[in-house]
Amino acid sequence: MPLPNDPGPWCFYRLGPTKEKELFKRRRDAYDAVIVPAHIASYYSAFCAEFIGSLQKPYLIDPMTYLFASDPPLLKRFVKDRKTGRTVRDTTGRKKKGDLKRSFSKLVEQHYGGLIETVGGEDRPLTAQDLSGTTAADELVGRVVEFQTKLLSELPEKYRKYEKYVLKQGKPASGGANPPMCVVPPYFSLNGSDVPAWLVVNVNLLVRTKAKTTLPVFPVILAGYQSLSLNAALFISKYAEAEPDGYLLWVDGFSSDQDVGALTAVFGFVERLAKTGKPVILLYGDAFSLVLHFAGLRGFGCGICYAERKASTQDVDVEGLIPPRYYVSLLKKKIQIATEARRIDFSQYPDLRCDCAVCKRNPDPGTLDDTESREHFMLTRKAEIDALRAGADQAAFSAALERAFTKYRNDPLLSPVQQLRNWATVLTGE
Amino acid sequence: MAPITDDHSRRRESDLYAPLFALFGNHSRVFAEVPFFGKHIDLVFGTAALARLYAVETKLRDWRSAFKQAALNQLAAQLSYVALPQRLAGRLAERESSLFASYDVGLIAVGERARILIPAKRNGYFDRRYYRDLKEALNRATKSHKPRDMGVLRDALAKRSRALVLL
Repeated sequence: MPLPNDPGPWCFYRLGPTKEKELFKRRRDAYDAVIVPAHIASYYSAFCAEFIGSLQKPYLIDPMTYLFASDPPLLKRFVKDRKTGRTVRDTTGRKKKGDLKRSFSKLVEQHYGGLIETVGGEDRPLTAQDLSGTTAADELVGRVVEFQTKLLSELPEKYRKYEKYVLKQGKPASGGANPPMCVVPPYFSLNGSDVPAWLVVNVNLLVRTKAKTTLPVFPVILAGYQSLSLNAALFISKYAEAEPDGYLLWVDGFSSDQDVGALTAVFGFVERLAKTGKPVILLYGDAFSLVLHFAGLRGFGCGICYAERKASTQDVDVEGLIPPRYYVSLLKKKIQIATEARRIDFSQYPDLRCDCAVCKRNPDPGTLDDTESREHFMLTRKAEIDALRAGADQAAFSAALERAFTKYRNDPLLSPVQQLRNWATVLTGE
Repeated sequence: MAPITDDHSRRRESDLYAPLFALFGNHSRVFAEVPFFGKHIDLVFGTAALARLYAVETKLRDWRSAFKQAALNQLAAQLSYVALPQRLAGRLAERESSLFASYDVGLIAVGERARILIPAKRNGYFDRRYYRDLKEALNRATKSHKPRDMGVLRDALAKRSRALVLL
């Protein structure tokens, strides 16, 4: 599928737990595209091909290559006690790590192989030096591009029969092909002391990726806000020289409740990158992405009501469930359903009332279950995006944030809402 | 209005605990760092059969976050308090008494001794299911944990351990 047609901001949801499958289908009008992490695409390839084929939405595969240049334990799973099912701890109380997580071992063994498999066997991280040679870079790019362009790109047989309806509408038939909206070159973090070397590697991988596909190519720029701020001109000029078709930006570990300095740095970088004229999509973004729309951000991704921020140093083996949370659109924050939403008497806050289909059916947020709260998130986020698409202006958006801050700053159960003022400050520059 | 703060003569929240133990001296069961939906209730005092639970949130300065947590604790404990250093608590009792009253959250001033300035009340947010779950967790802890003294708790808190401690 090609890039989304709608004007920005585009809403991308990251494919996660299988229980979200129905939500993706039922609310397919509430988002623009899907991000499939490479290890999920590889481990559940049959499911993903069928699922992505059935959605008929633009999608991209995140190759997740940065992990192979990280500390090897990051990719390993926690060891579980067979009897209790609990995570085993070492003598110092730290959780014990075992083998490579299965989804990643399949990705490495069946798809990436080569250099990635070699350094994995040596139990060391990939270095920029490893990829400095033409052969190694070319081989990695070849495997990563093939993985993205082949794995999910065959439309399952049962959906091909619908082609006749596409033809009736005068649209071109896919011929059973369902390629991703773009190809993402292998990418690595631009943090730390090795930034210049990794920048050269990343741009080189971008150039080589462009040579191997006719699909649009969107590189990932992965760096913390300090690195982005410090190296903005360098990053933007080096990537632009390779003429990508768009950018995926991952601000490492960034969250929108950071101070105005951090927010301004991210806003400024997005603004400069967007001035290249290419679409800029945030790989992980929360409601601050709505603010970044005014900096020229074209789209942003997250899980459905989770994973709106991520640090590249985060363990891939995530333990524990995320408690269901309710997104309060006016305050641009989520509250825990089991405690906060149950304790807050929403009838006392008429301006927090939500008109989405879920909340109309069940007006007490304290009684929503996990699926309902995620569905509410999708519908509410769509309404926020629609408002921007309808032309909400920067001054009005900023004023609304400031009003909400003023009203709720001292509310004992809904505060803190400092992020609203910080965002307004970024927009007004005051 | 100037923000309500206090002197910093007490350095740690656990410095407030001993006077609180004396205040709730007639309650035979005391637990610290009790897990509650991803957060921890600083102290829970209970009668022998845990028929009644009293939750206490302690803070040296940031009383608003203690207040919020205390309001959430009302879901599982019959009575819920915020315990603060004496001067801060005194000023709050003057300036914010209506807030505490409207949320049924109690306020305790902790100096050499602890004193209830605003009594807590049980309200409609108390949920029997939450109470039952908390009570079961506390009963399990009573069976599986050894009672510890304050020194052990202080060490655990200093190491940022948030494991439940039976006192």
